[in-house]
Amino acid sequence: MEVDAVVRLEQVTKSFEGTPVVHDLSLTLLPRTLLVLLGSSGCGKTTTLRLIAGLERPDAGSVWINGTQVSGGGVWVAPNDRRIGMVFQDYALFPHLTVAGNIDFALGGREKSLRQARVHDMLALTGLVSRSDYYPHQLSGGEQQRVALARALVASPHLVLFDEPFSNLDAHLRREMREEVMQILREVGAAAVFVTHDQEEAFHIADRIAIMQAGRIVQTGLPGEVYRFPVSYDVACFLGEVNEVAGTASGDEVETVLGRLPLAQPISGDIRVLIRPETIALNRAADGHFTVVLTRFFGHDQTITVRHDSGLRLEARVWGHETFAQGERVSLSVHQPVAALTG
Amino acid sequence: MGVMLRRSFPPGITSLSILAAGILALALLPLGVLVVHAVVSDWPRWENNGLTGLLPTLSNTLVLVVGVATGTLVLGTLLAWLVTHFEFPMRRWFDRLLFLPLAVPGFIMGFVYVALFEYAGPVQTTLRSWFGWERGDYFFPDIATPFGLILVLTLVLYPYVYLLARAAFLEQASSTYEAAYTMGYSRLQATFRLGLPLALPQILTGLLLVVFETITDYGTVSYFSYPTLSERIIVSWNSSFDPTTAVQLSLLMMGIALFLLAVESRMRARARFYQSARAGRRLNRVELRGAGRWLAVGFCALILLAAFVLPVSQLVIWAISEIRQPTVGVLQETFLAYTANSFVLAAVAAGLILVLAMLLAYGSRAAASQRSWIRRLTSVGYAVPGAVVAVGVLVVVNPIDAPITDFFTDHLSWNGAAYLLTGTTLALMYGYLVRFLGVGYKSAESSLEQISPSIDSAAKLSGAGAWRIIWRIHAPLVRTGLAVGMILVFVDVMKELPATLLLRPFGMDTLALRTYFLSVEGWHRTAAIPALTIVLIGLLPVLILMRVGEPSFGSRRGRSSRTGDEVV
Repeated sequence: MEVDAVVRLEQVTKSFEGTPVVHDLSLTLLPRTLLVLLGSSGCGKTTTLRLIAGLERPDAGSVWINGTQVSGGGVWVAPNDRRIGMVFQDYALFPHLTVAGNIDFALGGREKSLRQARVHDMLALTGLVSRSDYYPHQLSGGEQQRVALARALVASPHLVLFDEPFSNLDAHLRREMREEVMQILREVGAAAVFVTHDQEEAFHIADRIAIMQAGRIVQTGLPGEVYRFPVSYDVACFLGEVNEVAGTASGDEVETVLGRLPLAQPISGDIRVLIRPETIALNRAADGHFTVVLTRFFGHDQTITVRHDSGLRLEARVWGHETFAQGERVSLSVHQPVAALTG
Repeated sequence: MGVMLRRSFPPGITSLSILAAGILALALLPLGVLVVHAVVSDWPRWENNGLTGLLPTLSNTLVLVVGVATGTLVLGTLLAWLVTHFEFPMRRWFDRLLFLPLAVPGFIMGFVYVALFEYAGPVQTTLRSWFGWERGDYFFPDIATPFGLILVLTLVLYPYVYLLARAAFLEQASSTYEAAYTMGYSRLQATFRLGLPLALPQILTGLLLVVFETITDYGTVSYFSYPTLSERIIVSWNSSFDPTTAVQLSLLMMGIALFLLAVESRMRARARFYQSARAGRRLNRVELRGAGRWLAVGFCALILLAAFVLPVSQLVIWAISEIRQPTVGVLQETFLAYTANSFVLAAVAAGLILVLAMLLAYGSRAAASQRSWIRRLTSVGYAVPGAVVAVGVLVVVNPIDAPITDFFTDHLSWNGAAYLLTGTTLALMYGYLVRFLGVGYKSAESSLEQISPSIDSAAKLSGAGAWRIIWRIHAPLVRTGLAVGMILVFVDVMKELPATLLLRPFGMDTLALRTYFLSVEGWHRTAAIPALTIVLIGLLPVLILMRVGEPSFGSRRGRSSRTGDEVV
């Protein structure tokens, strides 16, 4: 067993009223790492987070935090003895306490001068010094978010859990807060598990991504890895738009309606390959095998739907300045190795 | 009226607003006149007569308020904490059944308790016969003491604190507690450091209702011969023929009431932003085990028994024996007559008040700031004792009456017009209006508030006129709210003692008056029949409360705020 894992889940299972929510889930989180649990709503990612925090008891399996078993095998460490920081989806700020009071609350029992110093450090780190005596209802959404973060970090936990913390913020503020949270986490050197259903957010902040579906982790890896080499069509779709194309592989290449394409991993036989729209380039060509059927303009880029003479429809994502008219004949090329779907 | 509504509706400020202002002025007139009267009255007289005599009354009132407030605070909060934080056998039943004592007016509970626990009462008699004791052989606390009075009022008033504390605990998000757990706090620590402080504004709101009820109480304190400010007003006006003292005391009571109302509105405002964090999942209840489990069951059962089952059972036993064998010398044939009086008075008052309250609500519909002022102004009548309202009404009505009477006797040589207003049901209705308009307005306002102005706009765009909007859209939507308001006013009028006592036409009896007089004279068995009738009718609003008492998941805030209003 790796002793230096901050969190280790082994075959954890949890059901609610007979409905299984987390199945046989195993997970390892290394120090100073931000792991994103990514999945659509109801996939069990929040329950996994609550199992780590000790807010739920697993039905089976075990949980280790910093090498100490906290759950499973007859062991149970209550959440109040786990020393974990947590940021809740609704922030769970205490409305009757000031900003400083909220942060100080997390230091309960410690010496007063030490508490004052820590609270001040956190206020400074999160840019809330001027808001120290405000009450939560007097703060903006972003400020409330920072208080929740400061409160979760003030006791210097090794591990911080985030339960979709940005879901109540508007898109602009969300991007800003992401940067801030990442920077602060790096500064304090804590490991974190971050739950979200937003793949853009996940790619942006994650050191590692774990993709959850129906209570299981289906794929773990670096953000670029899981995007380029998804384990299934479902995962591929969840992470972004994708074209699925049949082909015949022979080693490093696959023969498809787009021609011979290089494969990311050698394989042979009849397979299906996944082609991301942004890896497709369009060239105007009277002798091309594709016809432009639809264009959708997004500003800096656009998606173009084309139809092969065989009836197959594909989607390409190209820069906004290229102009293609409906009905134009084009040829396609793919400028990256494609991933083969196995299984 | 129809024209007025049509012309000023909905952007209207004009006719309807003026009508609303008129209603408001009518309802506040007696209290305003009372203030003027008191201020210009003969103050030294009060000093000679009253001030020294007033001190014991003041300290009595204070002792009673502190005692009852402490009792209800502890009892109400403890019960609410038990049923919301823990799981134990029959919890679901206790959760609702603990509302029941709201149906028992203090003066009824008072006479039942005294009759049960006094020396000659069944409890002590039974103890003596079991153990062969004689007088002085044993210690038994005397029930007819201030302590007994505090006990009785605590048992009937704790539901106010219970109701609001319970709603507050139910609204708390589990994430608040979970955040505390992750910070190293245990559940009990989280309850004390977060749960209680967060529920405090609502608990204090409930406590203020208890204080209002305690200082305005007349029947219970006079039954226990415990002079308080409220009781003194009636005695001064009715028996000592000292209207100046009555008016001056009324001013004092109004001052206290206004102060408490201001505190209450602060508390409600604070409670609102304490709840502002939208609650996600609810707090899960901890299963109690071992001794704690049975302690919780036993405690809830004991309170329910003492505050409801015991007094009601005793009333039933008395009523049955009275029906089988009527007490000689006490007229019971009139039961139907005064019951009819009570029903007619309560029904007419409820109808009148809700109509006026609805007009008031429509008149102030456009402006939220106006509404909060109207809410405050109309609640003054409810916050002061019924006796103050009655004195105010009499002070207004008397000077109008005299010239009318003179006019008829001098110019028309007709004596039948004497006291056309004073001592008639008209003055009584006016008294009820002043006292209970606030209750009606809150129902009217909150039911109208549920109709968003954009609904009106949508209806107008589809071509509906003002009457069609009111009839086809508003009426069905406000119906339930108005019915609840009517029931609340109906029951309040039925229970009202001091205002009825001072304003009733000579010789007119009601259920409450009859219960009170019979119990004061010691005819417990006979008093049990009207008393039981009042309790049964009083159960009606409690049953409604029990149905809406559970803040449901979706409409948590809406429902619970309605729960709070219904208490007032």
